[in-house]
Amino acid sequence: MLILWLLTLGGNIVAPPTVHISDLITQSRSYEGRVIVTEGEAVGDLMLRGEYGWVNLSDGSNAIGVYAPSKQLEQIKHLGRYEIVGDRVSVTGTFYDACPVHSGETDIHASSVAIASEGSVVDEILDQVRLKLSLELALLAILAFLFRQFVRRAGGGQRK
Amino acid sequence: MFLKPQKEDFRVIGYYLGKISAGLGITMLVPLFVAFLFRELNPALDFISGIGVSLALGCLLTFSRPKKTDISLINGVLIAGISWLLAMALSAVPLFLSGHYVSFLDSLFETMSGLTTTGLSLTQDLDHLAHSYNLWRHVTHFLGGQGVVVIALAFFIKGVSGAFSLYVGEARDEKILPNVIATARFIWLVTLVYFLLGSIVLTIIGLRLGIGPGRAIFHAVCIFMAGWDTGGFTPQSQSILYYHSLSYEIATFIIFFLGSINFGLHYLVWNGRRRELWRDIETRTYIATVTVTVFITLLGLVQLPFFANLPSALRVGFYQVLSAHTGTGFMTVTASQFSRWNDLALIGIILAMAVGGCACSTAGAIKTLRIGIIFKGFWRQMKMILMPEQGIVIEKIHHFRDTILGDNQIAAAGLIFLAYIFLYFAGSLVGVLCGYQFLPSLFESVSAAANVGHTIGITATTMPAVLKVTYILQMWIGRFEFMAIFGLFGFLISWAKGR
Repeated sequence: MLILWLLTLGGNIVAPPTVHISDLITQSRSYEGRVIVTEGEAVGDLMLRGEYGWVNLSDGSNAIGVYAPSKQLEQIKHLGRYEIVGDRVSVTGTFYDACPVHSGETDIHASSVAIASEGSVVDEILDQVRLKLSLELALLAILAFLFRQFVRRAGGGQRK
Repeated sequence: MFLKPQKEDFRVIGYYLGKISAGLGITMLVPLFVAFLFRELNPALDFISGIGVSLALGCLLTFSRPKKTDISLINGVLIAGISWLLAMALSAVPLFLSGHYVSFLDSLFETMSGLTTTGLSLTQDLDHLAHSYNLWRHVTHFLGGQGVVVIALAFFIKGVSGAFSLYVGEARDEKILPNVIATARFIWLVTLVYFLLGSIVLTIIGLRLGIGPGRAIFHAVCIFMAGWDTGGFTPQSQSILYYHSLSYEIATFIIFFLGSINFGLHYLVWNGRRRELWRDIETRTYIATVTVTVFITLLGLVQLPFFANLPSALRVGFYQVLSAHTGTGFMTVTASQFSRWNDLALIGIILAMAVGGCACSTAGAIKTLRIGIIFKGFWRQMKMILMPEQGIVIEKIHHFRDTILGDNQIAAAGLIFLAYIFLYFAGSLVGVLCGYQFLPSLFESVSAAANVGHTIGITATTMPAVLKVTYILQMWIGRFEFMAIFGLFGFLISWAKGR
């Protein structure tokens, strides 16, 4: 029984809670200073600054900065931008609502960073509806211009 | 007796609205170029659509040129006010087509927020927004901050004898140089010089932060436009928090602070009269109100359990107050964190937002010059009470030059002050009616009406449409310092009752 209890306890220690980024942002006080696991899409830019660096993870609604060793961050190959789906990154680390090291900002100090799933570059397909609309509106502008010139030449729009 | 508007008045208004509409279409060539640069095909098509609509409307409105080139004051005010509503609708076309907005109302909200340099955003999935759309959001800050009409005067409209009416109509009344076209061009000169300097500095910092060269330039240009024009949009969803950098905070702070200073003072300092910075009633009041609001906010922040040390509270508090006071709205905290600040800290931020920056700058709200004049008015009144009955009290103020404080100045400042207070509370009343608590409602309302852009979390796509419309109106009315609304009512009354 004692061994079983110790195993359970051990399990609790090595398995920190998995928390959504939005929950970290909205219920930040509950997780202050705790080791958590979270997952999100790497977005924007990979900001490597010597030994350590930053990446921002997003869950679509909220985003958070992750501070981690640059070597771990270098695994990230795709960063979410227009027509790019960023790598889904799983982070284990300490969450800070107001980080004492980084002047009170909300962040995660990662102890481990892993790629949960690789991102991809989306091939942009020309939208036929948009193409038609833009051509029609460009034509409308040309016709309006010609109409204005015609009216002015006919004397209707001339300043007298 | 009111004079009924004549057919020619409508022709003048339509003609200049057409010019501004066409000018806006030409401006959309900038994001179109960026779309091609970043190979963003579908966004490029959306900008062609936007250009098409703007130019078509511009051509239709200008086909009949007015007989007189003179623009009366009421027509100037109307042209300026309506041109912003028109610019809001036309600028929203490419953004709405992007698919990043839930409704056309949301894209209208976004462009009004951009043009009025507010910075409240309803963009969905901002982190995946194409560079061209993102740049366009920031260009709207630039257009609005400099003034749609100021741009038109500087570049598109030549030899208009009623240029001053248009200029005044856009809530600018200071002639830095003898004529307003020269003034408009000077404002652009100052802006372009700082644009080059600011963008270079932000690019260098971005590169040092680890951002790639192309993206560092893109971020720098966007952040400069938003900072200098005291806007508040940022290319990423986390605002300035995205960069995790003190140097980026300092650089943006300098940019938005310079943007909030009176262009007249810029002119004097550029001409070597640096002492004016310390002598002017406007900057003195600015220093006083910043000190008071920073003190109140910090007093609130140190009571919170969040901040592990005083330097953290100072960095966050100082930046947020200055960002609020200048009307910028850059954030280094999340909206969720803001909502957990105590009442005292929030009151500090609300007061800073409500006061705003200097007159004839890119900042909005009541403005420090009016606060200074009202304070001097109180001081004069106190002295009058203490003086013997026959005594005469003369109070002087220094704003570019020494002048005697007149009753009309105090009355004008007091009237606008009261109008803003009414606008702030009217918006918060709508917020409360929509089910939000009073203090968050007041916070968001002041942020919208004072063209700041700080959010406590109310501004979201899920907020009621009536609140979105309220904030759009507040942003518009606030940016024009009530000129547009007075002008519109005046015009309607003249139309209905005039002879």
